[in-house]
Amino acid sequence: MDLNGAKTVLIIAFLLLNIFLGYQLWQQDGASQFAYFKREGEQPRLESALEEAGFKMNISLPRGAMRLSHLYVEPVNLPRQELLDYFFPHSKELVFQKKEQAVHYLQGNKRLTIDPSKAISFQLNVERVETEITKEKAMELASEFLALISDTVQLKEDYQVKLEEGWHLHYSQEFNGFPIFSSYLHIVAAGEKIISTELYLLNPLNFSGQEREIIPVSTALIRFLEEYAKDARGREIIQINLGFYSPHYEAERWEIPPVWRILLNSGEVFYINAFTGHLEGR
Amino acid sequence: MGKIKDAILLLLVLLSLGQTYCLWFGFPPLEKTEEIPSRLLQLAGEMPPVHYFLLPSSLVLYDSAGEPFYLERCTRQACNFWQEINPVLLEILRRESSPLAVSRKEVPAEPRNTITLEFSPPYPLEIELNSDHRLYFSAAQKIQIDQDSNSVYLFTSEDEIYYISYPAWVGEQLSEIIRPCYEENIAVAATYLQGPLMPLSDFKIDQVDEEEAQSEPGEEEEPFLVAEGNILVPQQALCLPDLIIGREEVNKEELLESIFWDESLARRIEERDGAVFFTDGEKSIRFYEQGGFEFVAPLLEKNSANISPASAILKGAEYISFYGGLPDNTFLEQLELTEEGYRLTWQVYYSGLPLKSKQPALEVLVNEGGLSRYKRNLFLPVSEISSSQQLVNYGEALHRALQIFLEQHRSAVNLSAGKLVLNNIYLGYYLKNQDFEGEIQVPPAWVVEIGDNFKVYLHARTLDLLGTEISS
Repeated sequence: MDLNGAKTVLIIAFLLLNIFLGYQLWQQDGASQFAYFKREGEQPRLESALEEAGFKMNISLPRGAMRLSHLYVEPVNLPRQELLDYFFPHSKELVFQKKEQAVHYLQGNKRLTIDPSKAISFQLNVERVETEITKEKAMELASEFLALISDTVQLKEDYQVKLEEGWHLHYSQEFNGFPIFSSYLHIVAAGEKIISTELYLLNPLNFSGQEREIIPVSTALIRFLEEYAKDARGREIIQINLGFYSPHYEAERWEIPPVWRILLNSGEVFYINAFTGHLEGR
Repeated sequence: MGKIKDAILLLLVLLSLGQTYCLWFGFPPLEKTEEIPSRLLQLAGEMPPVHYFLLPSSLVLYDSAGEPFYLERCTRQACNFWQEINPVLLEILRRESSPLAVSRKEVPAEPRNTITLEFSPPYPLEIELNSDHRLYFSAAQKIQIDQDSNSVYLFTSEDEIYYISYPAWVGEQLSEIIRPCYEENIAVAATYLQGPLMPLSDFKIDQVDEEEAQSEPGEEEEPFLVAEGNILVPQQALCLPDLIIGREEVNKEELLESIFWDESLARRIEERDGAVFFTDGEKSIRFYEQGGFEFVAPLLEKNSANISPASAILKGAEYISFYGGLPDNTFLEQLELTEEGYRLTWQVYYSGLPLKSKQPALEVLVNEGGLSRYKRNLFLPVSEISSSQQLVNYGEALHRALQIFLEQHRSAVNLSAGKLVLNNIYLGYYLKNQDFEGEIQVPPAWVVEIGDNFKVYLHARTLDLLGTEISS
C-alpha cells in the first residue's frame, strides 16, 4: 500500500473513532447518561472508600440518569382535635402549655407537641418495655393512626427497622412516583403500644420550572462517606432511594430539592442533595 | 492533496485526544469550578480603592501660628482634600525603605504648619503600599505631617511611631494642596455646611443650675457630663433642611446569579412574614418584604478569624462590590474583631452628615473562609427640603441627652462618682420609622454618645427623642 492509501485508511479510522467518542460524550452530557459509574472512575473509588470506612452494602444501586427540578410544597394543617381525641381519649386533666411558639398538651405520662412549623410529636414516657412486639402488631397499631389522617393525606410504607426500643415504622407521602421524605409519619411501637409518633405533612403543589441533571448515586455515597466521618464497623447501608427532602420551615410555601436518602441498619438516615451533593439533613 | 490529507489526519488525531480526555476525566461539577464565569464578573461592581471608602476620622490643619482648622469628616471638601493628599502621602512612605522608629517624646507637641490625620478604623497601608513596606506599615492610626521640618510621623496600630523625612519638592506639592484650604477658608465652608467647628474641651454639663449644684459635704454629687477626646462642635447656630430619603432598589435577579451562579440550584422559601428566602443548603439569602437583604453562609462561620484587619477590609469591600456594589458616599465606619471573624459596618453620608437608622446600612462578617454574613439595608438621599430652619444648639442637646440617659439608667448605673463621659456629639439624619414605602422625610438629629454604649438621637430642631441605642 502506498503512503497516500495508508493516510486515507488512517483518516477513515480516526473519523470513526471521533464519531464514537463524540457519541459517548453526547450521551454523558446530553439527555441521558449511559451509566453512573463511567465518570471519573467513581466505581473503584466508591468500593475502596466503603471498604476503608467499614461499611457493608449488599444492595444494588439504582442505575440510569435523570433530570429533576425542585418541588413546590406548602405545610398541611392537621386535624388537631381528632389528633387530641386519639392521643388523649379522656380529656380529663389535659394541660395546655405554650412555650416559645410551640404548643404542648400534657396528660400523665403523655406529651403532644405542635411546633411552629406545624410538625407534631407525641411521646409516651414509659419505663423500658420488656414485652416484645411483632412487626405485624406494630404495623396494625400504625394502621389505626394512618386511618385517622387518611382524609388529609395518603401515606405509603417506607421502611421498618427493629431497634432496641422497639419497631421504628416509617411512612411517607408520594408525588409523581417520588417519595417526599419530609412529609412523613414515624412511629415507634413497643410493648403493644405506640410510644412515640412524629408527623409532618406537606402538600405538594408542582415541580418548579428548571430541570437539571442529578448527581449519580455513587457521588452521593462518596459525599455521605465524607460526612459520616466516624467508625462504621458493623454498619450496613440497607437502602438508597431518590426522593424529595428539606428540613421543616416556618413558611407559607417553599421548594424542596431531590435527594439521595441513605438508610443504615442503625436507623440513621442521611439526605444528600441530588443537585449539589451537600448534606441536607440526617 | 497529500498536505490536505496530512492536515485532516492531524486534526482528527487531536480531536480524538481531546474527546478521550473529556471522557476519561469528565467535566468538573459547577460547585467545584474555581474560575468565576465572566458574565458574573460583568455583574460585579468595580471595587473602589481603599482611600475612597476609608476616610480619616479626624482631619486638622494647623497654620503657622498653631491655629487649627478642622475639616469635618465625609464632607465634600474633606473627601477632596483626602483624595489629593493621599497619593503624595503614599509616595512619601514608598520612598522610605527603612523608616526610623521614634518615641512619643520626639514628636512635636505643639503642631505648627502641620496636618494631622487620624483613622478609626486604622488605614490599611499594607494594601495601598507595595510589599516591601508592609513590614513597617501594616495600618496607620494617625499620620502627622510636619511641613516645617519636611517630616511625617506615622503612628501604627501596633503603637509604634515612625519618622520619615521627605524632600523639599514633595513639600512644595503638599503646600500646593493645602494653600487653597486656607485661601478659600475651606474649613469654614466645610463644617456642617455653614459654620466652623471648635473642640469641646474643658466642658462640663449637669442637670441643675449652678446655685443648686453646690452640694453639701457628704451629699451625693449630681451626675454631670464631661467631654473626653477630641470632640468638635459648631461654633455658630446652624440651619439644616430635612432630607427626603428612599430605600435602595435591589436587583434580585443579578444578586441571585452572583451568589448561586446557577439559580436552578437555589430553592425558594416564602416565609410567613413576607420575606423570601433562597438557599442551596450551604448559603442563603433572605429578601425582606420591606426591602434590604441578609446573606448567610453558616459553614463559613466556623472558619478561623485569623486574618489581618487589612485583609478583612479588602475582603469586605470586595464582597460588597460584588454583591450589590458600594454606593457613593458610603464609608467604612467600624471594624470589630469577633470570634467568627471581622465585623465591618458601613455608613451612608449626605453632605458630611451620617444617615442613621436602627441598623447599620451595610454590615459584613468576613474571616479566612470568606464572607459568612452580609446585611444590606440601604437608605439613600433623594433630595432635601428647600427651607432650612435653625437648629437647637449643642449645649441644649447635651442637657436633654443627659436627662434622657438619667431617666433610663439612674437605677441601673452606679452614678456615685457623678461623672459621665461624653464620647461624642455630632449632627446627622435619623430615620425613626423604617416601615415605609417609597420615600420619607427625615429630620436632622443630634447624636449624643454617652459612655461606651449609650447613644441618643434627638430631633435637632425640637429635641424630641427620636431613638436610643444601647450596644452590648
